[in-house]
Amino acid sequence: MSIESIAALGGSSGTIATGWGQALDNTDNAQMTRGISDTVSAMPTAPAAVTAAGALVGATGTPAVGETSGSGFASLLAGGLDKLQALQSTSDGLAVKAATGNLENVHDYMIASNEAQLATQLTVAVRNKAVEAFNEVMRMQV
Amino acid sequence: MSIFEAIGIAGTGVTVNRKWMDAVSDNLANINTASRTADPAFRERFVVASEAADGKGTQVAGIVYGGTEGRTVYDPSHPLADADGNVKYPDIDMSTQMTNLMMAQRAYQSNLSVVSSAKEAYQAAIQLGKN
Amino acid sequence: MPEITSVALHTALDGLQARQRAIADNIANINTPHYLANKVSFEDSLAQAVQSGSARTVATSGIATQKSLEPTRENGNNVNLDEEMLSNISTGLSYQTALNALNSKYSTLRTAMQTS
Repeated sequence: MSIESIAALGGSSGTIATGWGQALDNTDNAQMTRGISDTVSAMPTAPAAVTAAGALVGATGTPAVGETSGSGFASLLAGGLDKLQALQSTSDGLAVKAATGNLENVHDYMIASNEAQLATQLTVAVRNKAVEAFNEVMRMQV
Repeated sequence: MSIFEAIGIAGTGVTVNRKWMDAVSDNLANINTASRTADPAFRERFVVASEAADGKGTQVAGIVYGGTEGRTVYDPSHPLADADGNVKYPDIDMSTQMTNLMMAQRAYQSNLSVVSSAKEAYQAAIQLGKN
Repeated sequence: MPEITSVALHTALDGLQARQRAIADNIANINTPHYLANKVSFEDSLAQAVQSGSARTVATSGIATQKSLEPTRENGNNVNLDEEMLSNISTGLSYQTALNALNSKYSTLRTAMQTS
């Protein structure tokens, strides 16, 4: 549910997302909005994002530094978002158990809920950074 | 209620020990209850505890009653005295009762302290991640 | 926000509140002759409603108050003080937990809405 809201917010910056998508690998809009938020949830993605950005710059003249293809970046993003979704449904499931009094361990729920919350914060931070970076690129003088 | 189970388990201990204290106070209250020699004396109450049926805590399995014989005391001035001047008193040993009372009270307190530490632990768990 | 987790938590808070009120009532009437303790139950019907998967069913899942069938004392009263005190503690803790869960759901949404 909150994932959907993130995606929706991502969608509001639709043009940005499509911009990225085309430059990378014609990724469709939806996938891209998912993707952006995703980068952060898995930290190792960050270098990939950097290389992808490098490739983007490289296309304008300088030879590309990284070999990473755009689709790899997008799928990393999608994978991360799926992970976030999974964390949130675990947390939701335990919350329902708490509501119905069937929760075995209180800390299990608290840990799951904190993980989900932190992952969401991370995802949102990455999404915001990605949008910021895109705006930066857009302002670049060619 | 499987959430906050430790509290429920300690709670069964509290209940059993409270019933034990009830039985002891019953016994002590009736320690001087006289009866006619032909009638049964007050019967001492014993609480039998057992593991709870669901394996979570303890329960009172039943109350066992002592004998009706009591002890015969010569007290011709007593209104219930028989022709020989005897009355019957229950066969309850005061010091045993007092020891039982102390044991029950200590166990009751221990269970209550389990409840309060479990409560604190659960409260800490609820605060998990909140700084 | 018709989302099943939030609705379930809301119903649970209602039920816990009702239970706390019943406990207060029971303890207040500890010496009232012929008073039978009130017991509030909502967990089972809530769990069933959640199974059904519809938020509307969950929102309307019942909170039932029943008279306790425990054996009574000599004055016809069956309030068990230590049971009520302990139930009070667990109910309070459950309430805090459910409130916490709802809070963290809201804060996740708030996080998702942040743009910078």
